[in-house]
Amino acid sequence: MIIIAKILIVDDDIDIVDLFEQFLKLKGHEIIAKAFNGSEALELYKSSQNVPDIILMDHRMPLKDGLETTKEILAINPNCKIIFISADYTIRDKALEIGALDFLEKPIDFSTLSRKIENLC
Amino acid sequence: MHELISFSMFLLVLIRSLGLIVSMNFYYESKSRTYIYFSIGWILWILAGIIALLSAITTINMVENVFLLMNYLLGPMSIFFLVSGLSSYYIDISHNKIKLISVVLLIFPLIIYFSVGITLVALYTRIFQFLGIILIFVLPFFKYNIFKKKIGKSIRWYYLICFSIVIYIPIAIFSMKNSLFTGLFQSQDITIIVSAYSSIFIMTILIIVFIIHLEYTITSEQENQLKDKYSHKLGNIMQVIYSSADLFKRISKSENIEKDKLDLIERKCKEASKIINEIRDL
Repeated sequence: MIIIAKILIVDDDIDIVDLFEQFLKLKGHEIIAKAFNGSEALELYKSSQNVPDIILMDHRMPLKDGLETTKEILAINPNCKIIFISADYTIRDKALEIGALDFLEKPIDFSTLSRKIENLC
Repeated sequence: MHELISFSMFLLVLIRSLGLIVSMNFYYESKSRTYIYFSIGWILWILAGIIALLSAITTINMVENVFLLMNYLLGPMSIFFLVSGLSSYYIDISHNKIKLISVVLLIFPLIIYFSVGITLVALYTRIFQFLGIILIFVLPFFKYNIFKKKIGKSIRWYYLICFSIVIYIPIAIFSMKNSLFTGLFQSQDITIIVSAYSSIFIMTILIIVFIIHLEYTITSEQENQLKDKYSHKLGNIMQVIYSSADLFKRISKSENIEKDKLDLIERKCKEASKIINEIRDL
């Protein structure tokens, strides 16, 4: 069975966003938006009619970090599914504590990412 | 001057010299203006102590008066610079304001001295020193959030300084009971001398410990931020290389692509990421 998820990618590195987008599209998922910092992600989430099933969230970003953005998104919608993808494993426990459903440490392989997304859908 | 006071003053000069060495050392390492204020404060405080000792040695009245006047000038200024150093961690202090206040602190007592005499200068010194010391206690409350954030784990040492001030102030006021103008210098009461100087020793040592601890905390924080910053950047680069190889394997239609080379890139990326984590843990 093919599972298609609506995904919001949040990462300050344009190349990573681009590669994730290519892979996820290849797997049939729909990228409903891309954000390059926490503030942009929050604005997109608030304003978009198309609510994402899953948000892929980086941590260290300009304007607003991943933890802060996650807190604010979960305050709007506590059921929002957020997967942290960060090179900073020191924030792993904190990310899970505030409500992220998973934490993947960079560099991640696409098979793992795909499996995690399918498990959450 | 009681022998115990002379001995205590001598010890205080030594402790203040330690404070000066620490502050100057941190200044050469960090070039922070904070340590310029501290260094000036310690120098003036050392000079105030030495001059107080010299005033006890001399037998000529006029020379003693000059030494006392210098002590009364240097005391408040040293407290002012030390308070400036402590508050500059969490308040932006204008360099021009510091200069202006220093000039006022120098000129104002001289005007009092030439118009009224040494006794009123002594009173002014006592009042200013008390106010300065109380400011260490009070100032953080005006910018408590910034204070708490900047001071970090060293806050317990700051609270201990405040606690030593709470002990020192009543003792210092009590020591002025018999002589409002000369205060502790002319005291003959051993209990007062011991308790007053003990609290000054403790306060001075706590200030030095606080400076060392805070500098260590700030340096560690900066090191961690740098480690996080660069490990994050390298992690992102690894992610791009790894994902590019992964994606290339998936989308390539050609049967001839050398998959073992792409696997090698992925494996090396994983190894590099482990090294990045080791760097982060250093």
